[in-house]
Amino acid sequence: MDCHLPNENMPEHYVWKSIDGMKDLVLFNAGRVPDDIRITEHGRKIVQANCIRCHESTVEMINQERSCTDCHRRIMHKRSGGIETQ
Amino acid sequence: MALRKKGTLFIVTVALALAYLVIPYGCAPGKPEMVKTVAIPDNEIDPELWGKAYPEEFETWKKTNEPEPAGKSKYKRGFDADHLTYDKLAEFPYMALLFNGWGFGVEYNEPKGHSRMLRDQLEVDASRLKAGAVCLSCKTPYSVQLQKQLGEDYYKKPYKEIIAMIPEKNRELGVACIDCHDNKDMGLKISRGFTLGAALDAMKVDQKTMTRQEKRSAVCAQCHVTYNIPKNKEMQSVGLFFPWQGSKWGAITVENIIKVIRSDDSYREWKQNVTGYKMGFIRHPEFELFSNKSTHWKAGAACADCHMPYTKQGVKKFSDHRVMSPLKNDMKACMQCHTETAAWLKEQVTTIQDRTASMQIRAGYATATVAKLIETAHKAQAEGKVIDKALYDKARDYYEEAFYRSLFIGAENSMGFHNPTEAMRVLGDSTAFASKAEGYLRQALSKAGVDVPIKVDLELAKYLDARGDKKLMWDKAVEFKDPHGVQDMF
Repeated sequence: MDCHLPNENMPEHYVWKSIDGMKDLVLFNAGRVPDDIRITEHGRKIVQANCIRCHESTVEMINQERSCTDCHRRIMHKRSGGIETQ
Repeated sequence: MALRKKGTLFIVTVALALAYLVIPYGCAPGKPEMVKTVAIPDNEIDPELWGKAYPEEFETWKKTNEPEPAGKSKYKRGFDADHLTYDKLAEFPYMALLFNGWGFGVEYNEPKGHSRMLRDQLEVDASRLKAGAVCLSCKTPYSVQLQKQLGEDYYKKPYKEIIAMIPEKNRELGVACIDCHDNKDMGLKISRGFTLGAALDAMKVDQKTMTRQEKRSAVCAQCHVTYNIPKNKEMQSVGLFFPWQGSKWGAITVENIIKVIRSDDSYREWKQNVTGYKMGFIRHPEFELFSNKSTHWKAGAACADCHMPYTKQGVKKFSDHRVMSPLKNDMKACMQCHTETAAWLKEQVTTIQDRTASMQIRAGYATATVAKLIETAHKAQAEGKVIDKALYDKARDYYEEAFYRSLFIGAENSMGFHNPTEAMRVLGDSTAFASKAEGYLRQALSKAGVDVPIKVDLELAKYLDARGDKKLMWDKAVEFKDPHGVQDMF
């Protein structure tokens, strides 16, 4: 919710919550969840806006067009296990 | 009555709901804005003033004047706290043979970084500045206005004469804010329109549509690239350009660069003593090597990501303007994206560099051997012996191909790391061309009745001792030996 839904205003938040929720419901129950889950272009924009929403003052001086997760790769679900333990 | 009560209740509920939705947003604090302390006038070069507006960047930029920690980088020790100046010709002795004939063969040191670059130029052997004021193009932020003002004279006139036109206070100033930034909004801006601007035009790249991430590499590409200085008949410099014609953004290839350099005799800037050939030259092609489909380039990284990693001061994140090798910064830049430990990452880098160094040495000595055989062929010719023309011409052609390729990687400042597979490809080709050329020459020489020994004597001491006015000597202790030991077999 904090990362994957728009949090700019409540109507938008709930509209997308219902759209995404319905999509998940259908795909899950139809057994059509792909193995390789990829974020959509829309989803990427939402996540980026949410990164900036919380870290607004931190990123004030730097490039905000660039996807935060390009570098902060561990934030992504898929790569959260990719931490070297030594 | 009950109906009216219901109606009022409805209106109150709606009003409350609206208030609930609107109030939190209406009362939210405004977005944080940067404090503007001073306005920077157009064409203001003095970094002190820019520093007032951007203190964090300015403070880290000033640190480029401080030496970097010693012993962190195996192959780049140019500006370390031990204050030693490393002689590149002694590190790679074959270079002394190949570059003999002009400044690069006299004094060629490891670079010492942005803040020191103009001072380094004043200290280096004067033969390095023979090309004229054109040498100032990347060394001073004043070159842009000087070039505009003087036109062709800017390239041609003596170095000392033009440097005297720079205000005394900033006569030793290296890279400054204005070289990369827009004074109005701190955005990135290409200041070297006369070099990079023209080169981008030649590749049909529109500067206006470049993303900020692309510009975070493009501003570095104003100087960390190879360039050529066309000469007139009197061997005076008449221009400056990047040999990118026929290449594409993201694929500037060594093949295209060599093609451009060999396409016109006015690009042959110097005469190589050992062969007597007039040759072109290749300088520090960092951007070309890195941007030619390297893994990091394809992953969307820019030069600044690794060399100016984001750092924090207070709540703000900004790019560290103490530009340096990630190796000397304890791999901080790498660890932003890579999860492994600094020690693990450093070992990977060193492994890549060792392999490249090994192949660079192989290609370098193979090329130097050919140069020596060409010298032998010329001597035989002078003694009246007949050298087979077809074999000689082919050897000369392949020798030049080998020379430029070994030069390309030798001049590049990452020892292969910027693009490991491409570096190995270029060095492999260099060695292949050199080996073929050596074969043709041996055949031509034996046809002419000249006996060539199994191991060709390179007479390196001749090229390394007593160089220039300073009488620089060959310090054998600093030589980079083949880390894999294979060169000993050749």
